[in-house]
Amino acid sequence: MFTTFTEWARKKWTSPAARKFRRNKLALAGLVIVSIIVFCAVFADFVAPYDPIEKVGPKLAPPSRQFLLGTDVAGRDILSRIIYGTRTGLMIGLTVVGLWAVIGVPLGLIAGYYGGKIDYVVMRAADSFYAFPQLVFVLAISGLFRPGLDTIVIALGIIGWPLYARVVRGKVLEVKAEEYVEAARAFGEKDRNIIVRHVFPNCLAPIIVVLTLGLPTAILVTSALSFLGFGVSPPTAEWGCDLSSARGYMADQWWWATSVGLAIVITVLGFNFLGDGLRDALDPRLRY
Amino acid sequence: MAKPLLKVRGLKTYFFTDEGVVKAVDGIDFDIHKGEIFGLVGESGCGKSVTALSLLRVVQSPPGRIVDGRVMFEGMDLMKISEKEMRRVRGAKISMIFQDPHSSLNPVFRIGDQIAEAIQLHQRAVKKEVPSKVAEALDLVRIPDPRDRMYQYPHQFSGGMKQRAMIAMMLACNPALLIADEPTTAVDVTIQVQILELLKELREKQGASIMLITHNLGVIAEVCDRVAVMYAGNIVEQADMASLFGGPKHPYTNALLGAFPSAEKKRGQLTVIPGFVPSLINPPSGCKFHPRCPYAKLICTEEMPPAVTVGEGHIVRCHLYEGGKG
Amino acid sequence: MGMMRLVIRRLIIIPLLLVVLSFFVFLCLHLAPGDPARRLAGPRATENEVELIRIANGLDKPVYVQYLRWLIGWPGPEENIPLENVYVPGGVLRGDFGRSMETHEPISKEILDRLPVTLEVTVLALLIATGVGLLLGITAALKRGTIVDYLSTTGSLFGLSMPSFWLGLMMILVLSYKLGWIAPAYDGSFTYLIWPAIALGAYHTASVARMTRSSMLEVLGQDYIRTARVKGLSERAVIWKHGLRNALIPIVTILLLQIPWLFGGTVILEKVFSIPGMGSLMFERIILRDYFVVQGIFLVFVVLTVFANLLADILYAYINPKVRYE
Repeated sequence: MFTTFTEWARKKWTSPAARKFRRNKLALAGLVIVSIIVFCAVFADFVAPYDPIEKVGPKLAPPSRQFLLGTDVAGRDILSRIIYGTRTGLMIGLTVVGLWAVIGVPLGLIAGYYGGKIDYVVMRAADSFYAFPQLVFVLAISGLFRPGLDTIVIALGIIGWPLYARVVRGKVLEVKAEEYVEAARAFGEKDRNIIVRHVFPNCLAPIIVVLTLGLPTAILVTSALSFLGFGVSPPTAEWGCDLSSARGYMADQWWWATSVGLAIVITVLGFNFLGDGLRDALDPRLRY
Repeated sequence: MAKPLLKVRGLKTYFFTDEGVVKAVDGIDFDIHKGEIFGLVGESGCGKSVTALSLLRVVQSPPGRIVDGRVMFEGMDLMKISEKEMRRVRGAKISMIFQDPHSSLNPVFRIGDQIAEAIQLHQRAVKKEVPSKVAEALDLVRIPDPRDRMYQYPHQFSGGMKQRAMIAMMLACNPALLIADEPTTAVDVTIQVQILELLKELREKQGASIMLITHNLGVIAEVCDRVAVMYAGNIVEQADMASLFGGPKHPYTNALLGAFPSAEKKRGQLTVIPGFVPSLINPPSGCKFHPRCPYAKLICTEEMPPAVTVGEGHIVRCHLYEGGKG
Repeated sequence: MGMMRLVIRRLIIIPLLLVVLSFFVFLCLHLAPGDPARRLAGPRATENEVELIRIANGLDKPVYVQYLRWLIGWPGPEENIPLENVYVPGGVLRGDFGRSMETHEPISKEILDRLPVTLEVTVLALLIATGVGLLLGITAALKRGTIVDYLSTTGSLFGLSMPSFWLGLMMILVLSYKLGWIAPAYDGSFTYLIWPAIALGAYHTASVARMTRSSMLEVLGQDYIRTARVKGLSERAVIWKHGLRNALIPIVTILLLQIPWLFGGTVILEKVFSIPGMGSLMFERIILRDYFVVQGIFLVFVVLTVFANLLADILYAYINPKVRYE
């Protein structure tokens, strides 16, 4: 078993796609950034110098050797809060993107494979989501129902699937025309088997690309919502939420707002570089 | 013979790619005379289209580049003049119709507008006259209902009609030389006949000179006055029709004619040329045809044969004929 | 012509779409937890008073009746109900959006007061995104591989990675607190709006720039561009007339997708820059649970999005003729 895995890994590592990826400097930079972020998220307890929720120092202290990015209005270390923020941000982002994929991918598979009326209905539904002011909708929902993190995540998850359905459907249409699919059908293989064993694996590449590129969008949107006060509640360490607090102190303690914001920028940038590199390597014609 | 309209000497066009340098055109010489239909024939990938694109300096660059050669036309060397001057040659003096009519017309403009563009650029026409000139141009290429059709878009035309519309567009430029790159390949047989008839008419009525590029010997036989045979970036033989078809000298030409099915060949098999078309990145040494040539000698693997005149206007590049005799 | 039929078809669908969407908006409110009647009556009201309010606002009727009254104002409140008890929208199609539970003012008035500013910021952002984005993308495509291209591409990636609210905050930090050029909050002048517009439009500018670059590069490699050159057109005509028109097709698609997000973004930026627009109104009232206001603004945004999409659809059909004839 292990040998077959290493064989597979080596084949993937030396494939033309991987080589193209390795030549792309921005993509590599993205990989590095993303790795650091993920590392921080997973090992925040070890990486962060202080506890993010406890008061550990004077309020609104400027950056010093003790508190590398200073302290916030409640005396908490800003750097530690940023590091723990990676965990919050990634978890929320992954959940939202996961919802998009879980809803969108099966719909795209079905619409593309069966075509006809099902395809028509799914695509019309997807299109109608574009006539909707998505962010406004999420705000309205969170305002009218319980304004908690779960409401936000579910509302976001519901509005973001069309892209995934569309991308998968496109790929399915391509694959459907291939001969081995026709052959499998001629042999009388069950549709479900064909989809799972032939069609779906070919869709993995574009799905990975849109997932990697969708994560930054999810992070940006969720931090925007937290900034407005919806979603995460204090004292959880979350970037958008912290920015909202930092806003009031921008005149004098400008490093607070700037550093938290930069954390978001760097994270999103990393995923964008990575996603771009993946797309160029795996499926350059993928344009949404 | 009268002074040629176009003289090409030593044209070389290479493509610089990741996999190596593709020598698409590797030193060719030919002449085209006024009022003649000159054919350039060869297998796919032998460099015929690149030759045409090079004459007009519209080779996709990067990765392509014209590295050497002179093209004498109306007292100028087209390879040396500025881009601005070249633009005055394009369309007005030399124009070209392309192989794939589906992708060669701009999909977002009406056919009539695209032709009008050519007219306004190259003919002295008052604005009011333009629509009727467009209709005339379409009529010339036998497109039905020209006054209605000219308001349509390319996707509303059939393949054959698109091809004819493109001819109309390029003719509206009134060029001295029209280059036709595989004008019959992408269309039905019946349309092919019409297009060839059209080309002949153009030569009769308008005195246009035509350079016809194709891989189809039958087409060549139909309309051409003189022919050049191209192989792997070189012209291996050129002659007038009678000489070439009657007495081909180069082994490749021989093989081509043998491989061509025709109603006249009633018995014997079609000959197959053994081997494969050579790579243009790593071509065979010496004469590029030697691996497939039944008459190959040692010298053929070492040196590219020089061009030798073996008859009136009949030139061959083959070691069999060195010294001017066969 | 095809264009007219397309516009008419779209115009027929719009009312249907609006009805469906408006029902959806209505449903959202209807399903929200909380009892508006109790809220309106106040904490010290008796059960009787709550019941009276409930009846006055038609909240005891079935859903579809409530929806009808919400949409067109019929069936209206019964005869002897004092109007100051009625807060429910009495026909949004007639412009009656109901009254705010906080200020007791008609909601339509509150919305109309705030609408212009929001529209100004959104339109400005859209103009910036389109104008600057196109310019950057075209320049990057034309100067591919040079430092200009590299800067533009990297800049775009940064633009795509910056949260708009953070960008707005940084603008206030630098331009107001550090440099003192502008006020730290909206000062009522139109010129001030350029800053939130830039913050709002940055992401979309980057998106458009990237799309433009790749689209232009793809288009410029097409055969019909070669045809245009061969016709003898100037390089400017080839790029701007033949190239750009085709390149715009996918770009308009992307722009279409951006518009709903722009509306969402205004909510955030109005807060950052303290602009009294529809977005900040919505935000305030969400916190105060002023349901009908939230619903009314939501509806306005939906309608605006639908019409913006309609415009973009028509623009797209104008650019891409193939769509007109399906």
